[in-house]
Amino acid sequence: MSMTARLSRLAKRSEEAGSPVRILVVHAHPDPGSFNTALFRVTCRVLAARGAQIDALDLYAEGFQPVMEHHERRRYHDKGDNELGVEDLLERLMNADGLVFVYPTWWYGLPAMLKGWLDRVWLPHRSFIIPEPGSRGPIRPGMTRIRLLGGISTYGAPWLWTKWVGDPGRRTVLRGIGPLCAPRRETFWEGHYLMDQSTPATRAAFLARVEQRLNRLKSLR
Amino acid sequence: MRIFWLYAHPCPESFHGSIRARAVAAAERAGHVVDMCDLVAEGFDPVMRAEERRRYHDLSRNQQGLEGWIERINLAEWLVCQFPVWCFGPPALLKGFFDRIFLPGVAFDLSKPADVTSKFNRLNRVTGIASYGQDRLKAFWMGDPPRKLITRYLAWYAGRGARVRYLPVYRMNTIDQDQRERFIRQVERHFER
Repeated sequence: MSMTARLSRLAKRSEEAGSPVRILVVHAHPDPGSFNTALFRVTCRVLAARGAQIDALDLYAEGFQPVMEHHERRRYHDKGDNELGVEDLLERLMNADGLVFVYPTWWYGLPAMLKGWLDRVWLPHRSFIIPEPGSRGPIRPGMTRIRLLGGISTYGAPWLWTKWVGDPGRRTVLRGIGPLCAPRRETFWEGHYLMDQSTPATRAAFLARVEQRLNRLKSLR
Repeated sequence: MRIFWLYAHPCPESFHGSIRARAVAAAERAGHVVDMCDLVAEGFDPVMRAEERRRYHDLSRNQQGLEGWIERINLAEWLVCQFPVWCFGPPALLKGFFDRIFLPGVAFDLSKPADVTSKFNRLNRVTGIASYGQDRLKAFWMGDPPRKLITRYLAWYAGRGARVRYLPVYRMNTIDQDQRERFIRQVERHFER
């Protein structure tokens, strides 16, 4: 980055220092009456109470279509063109200072609905920069504005099983997406395991734990 | 062996299209029977809707509308998953296949939650064919979810003693024609055996 670009970025940051932190909360559960959707609402409420500006993205409610079609795949690497059809969702992502996922873990990973949001909205030239063919350079980050990254998930499997399979959902978010965000970022993860054996008491305890965790986040101070 | 081949790439002219054509030919030469399930061509919808979620645990109703796919996967002795790795995992289209088809009473028995068992009794071979934009080290650092999908998650369904093989190709954005050809040859050899 050139010196002038660096300076203008610094100026921009100080201008924005007084404005509230914008957090995109992404949610994917088909049933609005579910425990998971309750977690989503609590997350938005607690973060808003801490002064954050919340953009609540409920993918099912907004009717998102998660399948990347062939024409979209063909222009995937074309700067500008690859944003066609997802411009609004991309802007919402690019404007976020924080990103929080609230979703049920299905088969150790993100529901297709949420996976498709990553497939279609996290795009080359914006979210990340792919090296030219023939070069051996690494993929570079494009989301360095995001300095808070976390997830809240419900799991059918026990904790140990989840770890054995590698907890793909958590790793996709914290280790996959993480390096595309600001190098110094705050991260967190909360999971309720063994959902099929959960009781009102375990769910209430988990809600309370989530609330506590969100209230402790340093990047909102 | 009877192969159920899950395929999830939207473009027929892609590298995956070439791998598929030559690998299927190799499998058929070796006497295997391939049931190709091209999720794009079959118009599979990967999104589990509210009604489906609500009846998920109801064994009498949770297969409604999905019978065709369930019947085909039940016949499989060998399951092949072929997909590009997008954003660190399988495309939504393939992820949704597991979300919607791998149901209680179909894929696994949940009657004793503390002792869940697989219901795919015929299945004893699993192969994954995946292409990555990133390199192996990056994939490893982040736990390589697509690899574990094959070697731990699907391997569990196939049971003890199953033959499980993962065939990955990395750095798709930068490798050359020779490297692609070498990969296709490797996949062909796998199915010829």
